[in-house]
Amino acid sequence: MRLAISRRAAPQLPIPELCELARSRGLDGVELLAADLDAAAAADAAAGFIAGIEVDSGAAASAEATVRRAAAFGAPVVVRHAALGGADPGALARLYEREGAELLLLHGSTLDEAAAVVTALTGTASPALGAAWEVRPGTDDLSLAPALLLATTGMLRLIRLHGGGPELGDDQAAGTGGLVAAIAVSGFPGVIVQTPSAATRAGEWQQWLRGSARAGCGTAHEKQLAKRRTELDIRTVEPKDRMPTILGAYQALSPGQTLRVTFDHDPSCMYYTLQATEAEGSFRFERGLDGPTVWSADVTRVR
Amino acid sequence: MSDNKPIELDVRIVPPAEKHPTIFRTFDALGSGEQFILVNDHDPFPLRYQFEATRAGQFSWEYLESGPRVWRVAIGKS
Repeated sequence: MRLAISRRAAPQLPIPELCELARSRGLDGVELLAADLDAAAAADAAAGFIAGIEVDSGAAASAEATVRRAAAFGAPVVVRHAALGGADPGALARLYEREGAELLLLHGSTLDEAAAVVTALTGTASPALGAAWEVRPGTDDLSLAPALLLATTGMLRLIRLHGGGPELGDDQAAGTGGLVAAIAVSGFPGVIVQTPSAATRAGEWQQWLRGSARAGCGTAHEKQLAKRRTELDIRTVEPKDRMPTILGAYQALSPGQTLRVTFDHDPSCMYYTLQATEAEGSFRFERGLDGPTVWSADVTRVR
Repeated sequence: MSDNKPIELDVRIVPPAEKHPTIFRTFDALGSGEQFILVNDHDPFPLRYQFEATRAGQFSWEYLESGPRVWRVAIGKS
């Protein structure tokens, strides 16, 4: 499985820069929009890094220019199945096979939509055609995920996930853990594309891509500041920078001083880390708030 | 989990409150001798300490990739 990001996260950035930022975030690709295909500069910089091409109509999906560019990128065209209208999947399959390209029919999180895609794919039995799933954890019924994944086994090649990136802390993201586990257990071999849940959030995403989201938290300067604090709201720090920030603040405590840490997850991992890395009896750990959205803990340096 | 390819759990897209519960649920559902690949954007060493404290002797831990941007750890059930 690979993890990618949608062009919608940074619609204004030049494509080469977007690809570079995505790489620096450890991501495996970018899903472009049909309009990006016209950008001449896109081709070279993005070659091999395009996870998909989102198009919005059957006409666009069956345009020879689109299919040829997709083949050149080595990326599938992704179109909502319902947007194909009366287009014959068999004819599309022949076009995509001839050009050496791939077309994915996108369905939402209902069994009816998935079944319609499965029927279309089974009817053509073409390797050039596959399925894609667009899921919005904030509004979709995630309990259907295992059934949807089962119905599309062997066909599903792309999942477009609304959320991720800087939106992980949102209430809307609740339940994503179970969804990701269901995807993992299904053996899904394709790519997950994170995309902003709304166009208005692109600014946050662009900041996140640059690694400077939430006002420089996790930078060396920020870690230095954290060392002088006895209260630390770790929710404002990116997950990857959290434990080093906490340990730095703890180690800066004088004996008898207490550090209060506020979390958006259970602080057990902090307790077990201190227990494993600090001398026995050197700290005292007391739990405060206990979820389900905010947790806190007081850790006192005893000696 | 029926074929030979281990499942891959990418927690980069899992909300902080759900990360460790999701990982432990996935581990607990494994059969003896099975494993999964944990994917993350940082070294999950605190998780390892949590495994050692709560599932001592029941798991194996092997780094397949150690950054600088992506970490992959094979976590197996004894």
